[in-house]
Amino acid sequence: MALLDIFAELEAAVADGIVGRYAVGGAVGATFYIEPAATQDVDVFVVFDQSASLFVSLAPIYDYFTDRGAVVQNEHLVIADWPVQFLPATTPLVDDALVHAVRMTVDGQAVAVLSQEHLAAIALETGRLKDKIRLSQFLASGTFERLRFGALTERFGLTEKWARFVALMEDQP
Amino acid sequence: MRFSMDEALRVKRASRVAMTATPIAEKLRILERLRERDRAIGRAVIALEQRPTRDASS
Repeated sequence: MALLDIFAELEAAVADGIVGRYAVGGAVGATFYIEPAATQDVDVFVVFDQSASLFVSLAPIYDYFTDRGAVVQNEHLVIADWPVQFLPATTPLVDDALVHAVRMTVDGQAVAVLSQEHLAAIALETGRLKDKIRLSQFLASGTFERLRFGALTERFGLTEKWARFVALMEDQP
Repeated sequence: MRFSMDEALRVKRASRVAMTATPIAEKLRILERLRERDRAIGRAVIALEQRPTRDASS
């Protein structure tokens, strides 16, 4: 499975010290918890050592993966025939999401994935239509921890957005 | 057969519950198949758009 090859490459980047910490997010990350929704790319959130520079640079990541056969395509790196987008942790919420990422194993392959409560909070923060749909699916999932999610919305200033989302959902059948 | 929104929502909810319990590896395979399907549709649309059209003046 191509996605497993991508997970193996991400783990290799950590082992080789290129990436400090990473976690799969977006639609692929959400698939670990809810039903799959069609997507064309893989979102990977990353933390890496910024002590040497005030600016976040993805260059070392691009160099590493292109040396291993990946191809640059616009804002993506094509790995195992999937466009992969590396997103630096630039908000406190994403920072916290990476700290609390969950280690999973799929068919013997290790991978770090954002927790579903953090994915839901990021969906609430981002707020596009597809994010709202995803958020409603998380809420309906039997394993979703509402208290944990509620604490995240308060901690990261999302209570107003949450209230608006609840009002929107109350209008639905 | 009449369409029932309630029935459609019931089936959709049941499908979601079943899918949540589906093993992750299987869901990732479904994700790959969904992407392949969308790419095939995209290729078909491009092929249609690039098909030579008949000259309207003839």
